Amino acid sequence: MRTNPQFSVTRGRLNASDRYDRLVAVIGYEERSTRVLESFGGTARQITAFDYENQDVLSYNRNKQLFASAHSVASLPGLVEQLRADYDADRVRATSAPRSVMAGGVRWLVDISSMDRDLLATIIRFASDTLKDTDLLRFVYSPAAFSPELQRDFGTIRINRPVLGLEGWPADPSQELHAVVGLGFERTLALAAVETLEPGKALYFHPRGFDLRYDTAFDMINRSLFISEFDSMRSYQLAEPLSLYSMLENYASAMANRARIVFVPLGPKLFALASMLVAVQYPRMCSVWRVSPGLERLPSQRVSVGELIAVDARVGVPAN
Amino acid sequence: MSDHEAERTRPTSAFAFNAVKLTPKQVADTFIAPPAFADIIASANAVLTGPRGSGKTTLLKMLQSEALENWLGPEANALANEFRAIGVFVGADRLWTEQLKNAPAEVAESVSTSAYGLHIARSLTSAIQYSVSKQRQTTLREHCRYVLGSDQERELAEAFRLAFELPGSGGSLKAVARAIALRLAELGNLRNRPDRLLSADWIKVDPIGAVEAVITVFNSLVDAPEQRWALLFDEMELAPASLVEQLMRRLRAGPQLIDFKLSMAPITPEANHLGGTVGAIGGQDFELISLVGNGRLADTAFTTRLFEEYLARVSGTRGVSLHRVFGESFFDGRESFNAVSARPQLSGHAYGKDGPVLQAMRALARKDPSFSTYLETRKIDLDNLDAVQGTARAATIRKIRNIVVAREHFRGQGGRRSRKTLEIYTGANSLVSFPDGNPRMAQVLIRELGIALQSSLNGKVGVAAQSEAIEATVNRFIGLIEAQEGLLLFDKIITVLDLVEAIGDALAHRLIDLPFSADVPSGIYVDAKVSPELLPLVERAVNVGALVPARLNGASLDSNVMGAKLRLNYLLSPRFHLPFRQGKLLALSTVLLESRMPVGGSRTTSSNAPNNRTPRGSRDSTQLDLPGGFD
Repeated sequence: MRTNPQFSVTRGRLNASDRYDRLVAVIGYEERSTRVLESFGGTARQITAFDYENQDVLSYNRNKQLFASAHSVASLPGLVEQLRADYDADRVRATSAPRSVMAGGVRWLVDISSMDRDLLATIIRFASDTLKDTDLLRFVYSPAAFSPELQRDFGTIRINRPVLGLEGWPADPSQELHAVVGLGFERTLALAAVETLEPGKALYFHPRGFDLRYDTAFDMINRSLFISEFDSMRSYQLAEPLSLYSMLENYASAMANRARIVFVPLGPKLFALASMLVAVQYPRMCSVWRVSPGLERLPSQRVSVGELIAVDARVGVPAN
Repeated sequence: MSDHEAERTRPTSAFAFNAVKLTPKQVADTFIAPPAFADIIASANAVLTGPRGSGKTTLLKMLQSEALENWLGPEANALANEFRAIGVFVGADRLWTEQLKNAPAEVAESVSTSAYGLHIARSLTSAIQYSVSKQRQTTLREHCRYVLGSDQERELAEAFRLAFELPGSGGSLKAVARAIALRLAELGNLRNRPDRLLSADWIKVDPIGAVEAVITVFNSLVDAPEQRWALLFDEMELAPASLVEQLMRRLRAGPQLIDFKLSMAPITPEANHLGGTVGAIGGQDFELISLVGNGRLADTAFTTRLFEEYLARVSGTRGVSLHRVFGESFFDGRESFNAVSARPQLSGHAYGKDGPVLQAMRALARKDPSFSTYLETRKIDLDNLDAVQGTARAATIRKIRNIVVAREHFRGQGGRRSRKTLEIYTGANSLVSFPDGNPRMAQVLIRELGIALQSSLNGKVGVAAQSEAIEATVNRFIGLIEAQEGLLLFDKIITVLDLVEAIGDALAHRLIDLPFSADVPSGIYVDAKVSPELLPLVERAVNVGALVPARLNGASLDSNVMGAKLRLNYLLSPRFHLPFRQGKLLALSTVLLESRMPVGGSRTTSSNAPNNRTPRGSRDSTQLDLPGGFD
C-alpha cells in the first residue's frame, strides 16, 4: 500500500555549529514566529519566509521587521514555484561545492511553529516529490508557553475539507474509514470533523507532558470526549515526536488493505507534521483532513517557551 | 501502536449508530422496521428523504439480500417475500466525494462520474457474488439465490469487461473485482494528467447503461429474465451532478428491470430535477418517502419498539413495561397509564387531585395571574377537573397541558426561574417522544439509559439518571449542530446553532415570559422577509435535523426552504425549556429581528428575489395557524 517515496524520520538535534542551505519559515502574528530565526537564522545561508501579511496583528510587524533585517524574501502566492526555485539553487550549490556541509545534499531547516497546515502539507508534498536521498529536512517546532487565552473558542468552522495534495486516492472507497484525530483545545472542530466524516472507528491522540497546566486545561475542555470515547484515547508526549510518528506509521501499516485512514491534525503542529509524513507515504489509504475557522480564526498570541523540538526527514528506506 | 492494538480498537461509541460502516448482516441483527420500510418495499422507484441520523442508510442497506436473509424481525418473512429485487447498495461518504473533487477542474466531473461508475460496478459485483455464493446454511431464509456454473461465470465476467470497458478481467467475478480496483487506481494516477485521461475510452462509460447490460446477461444466464434489481443509492447529494441528473431522468422511464431507490437530504438542489414538465413526479413516477414529519404517533411507536427491543435484550424477557422501568411522564398524549409507576408521587389519574397535571395547573395558577385569568375566563374549575370529559377536555385541558407543565416548571413568581433539572422530560412517554423519530439519537438515548439500567438494583431507572441520559443526548445532538459550517453574513459569522438558539429563545420567551396563551407558537415558517443569504443556514438546520417539518405527514423534498413550516426537533426541547407540542407558527423574520440576527436588505423584499415564493397557505402576518397540533 506504500507507493510513494518513503521517508526516513529520525530525532533531530539542533547545534549552533550546524549549517543549513536554507531556513524556511513564515512571518505570522505569533511572537514565536521568530524563535528559530533568532537562534538559528545565522546557521542558514538563505532564508525563505512566507508572509501571511497580518499587518498590525499582535507581533506581526515586529516579526516582519526581524525577517526583513535577516534579508529573507517570499510571499505566499507562488509557493511551490518559490520552493522549486530555492531547492534548485541550493541543489546546484550543494552538489557543486565540495565544502558543502553535507556531501552532496541539500539541508533545509523548516520552522513549522506558526505555519498553517496547508502550507506544511505543501512543503511535505514538495519534499516527497523532489528530495534526493542525500537531502535533509529538519523540522523545528517551538512550543508556546501556556496561556489561559488558549482555551477560548476557536471560532466558527469555515474550512472542512481534505488538505490539498494530501487528499489521497483510495484503493477501495467502500473500505471502512478510520479517523485518527489529534486533539487540542479545538474540541468543536474535532467534533465537526468526525461528524462530517462519520468514520467507522475513531482514535483520539492527546498531547501530554510539556506543561501540567496544558494537560489540566486540555482534560477540562475535552472531558466529554474522555468519558464517551475513553477506549479510543491515546496519549503522546509532545517532546517525543518520533514516538508519535511511529505510532501513526504503525497504525497505517497495520490497517493496510483493511481500512482507509483520515488524519485530522488538530492540536500541536507536531501532530500535523507526523500525520502528514505518514499520509504522504500511504496515498492509497491515507488522507489528511483540515477543519478550521480559516481567516475567521480569532488571533491569539503564542510566546515561545524557549525550548525547540526537531524532527529529521530524509527520503529513502527507514533506518529501522 | 501494535497491529494487535489497532485490531482491538472498537468502533467509537458515539458513531456506532451509523449504518454506513456496518455489513448487511450487522444492520439486520439490530434492525427494527419503521413504518416507512414497508412503503419502500412496496414502491418501485423511491426517493427517501430525511436529515442525518433518520435511518436512510439503514433502510437502503436492509434491501440487500444478505440483510433480508439474516433479519429476525416479526415481519421479516412477509417483507422479504414481498421484496423480490436484488438490491445493489451504492454508498458514498464525504471524504471520498472530496477526494474526487480535488482533480483539476477540467476533468473533475469526468473523474467523479467514472470513479462513481466503478464504484457501482464494484457494488454490482458484490451483489451478484452474494446471490450465487454457496454459503447459505446459516441464514434464516433465502432471497433471490441463483446458481452460476463456471462457464456462465466466465460469460458474465466478459459482459462486465465489455460493458464497463475494464482491463482484461479474466473469467471470474473475483477477477472482475480486481479489474475494477486496477481501473480505479489507473483513474487515480491519471486524474492529474487531463490530456491522457480524456483520451481514454473507458472514461466515457455510462455506468447505468453498463449495469443494465450486465444484469440482462445475468438474468439470461440464470434463466430468470424477469428478475428485478434495485439500485440503492445512498446520499445522492454526494454523487456527481451528471449521474444525479441521469438517475432523476430514469425515474421517469417507466417500467424497467431496475428500480431506483435514492436517499437524499430534505433540502437539496437535486430536487430541481424533479417535478415540472420534464421531471419525474412524486406519486406517479416514484414514491417520495420522508423519514421525518410522519406524526408523533408513528414516531413514538417506532421509538417505543427500539426501547422494547433493548429491554428485551437486557432482561432476556419480552413484555417488560417501559412505564414500569421509567415511570409516568409529565408530558403525555394519553391520559392514564396502565402501569406501575416508578415514581409513586406521580401515580394515579393524570388529572386526578394528586396527578401531576393538576398539580402543575394549581401551582401555575398560584403564581401566574395571566393563567388564573385564563382559567376564570373559560370557567375551568381546577377542583373539579375530572368532571370535564370528552371533547370539552380536548378543547380546553389537553390543549394546554404541556404548555402548563413547562411554564410552571420554568416560571417563578416574578418571571423566569433558573432550573437545570430535566425532570419534566422524564418518564416513559416523554422518553419515546424526545428523540422525535430519529433512530440514531434514540439509540444514543437508549445507550445512556441502558448504562443506568444495568447498574439499577430494582430494574427501574430513576428521574436523576433519566435526566442525565437526556442531557447527554441533548449535548450529543448539539454537537452535531455545532459541527455544521457557519455562514459569513454581513461581516459576521453566523452558525446553525445561532439560528437554532434564536428560534428556541423566541419560542421560550412566548411560552414562559409573556402572559399565558393556549395558542403560544411552537415553530416557525420561513417568510419572504428573511434574507436569501440566510437561507443556506436554515437549510443546514433542516438537513442536520435541528428543524423538522411542523406539519403532520409533511413529506417533502425541496431545493430550498422558503415557505417551509418548521419546528425545533424535540431533542432540543430541554435546552430551550419547551414542551413537546405543536401549535401556531411564528414568522422567522420576527424571530431574527428579536435576536438581532440579519433579516435582510433590499433584495429580501423583492418579488424577483431568487427562490422567493409565498409560504404555503400563509397570511401576511407574523403568526401562522397550524392544524393538527397535539397535546
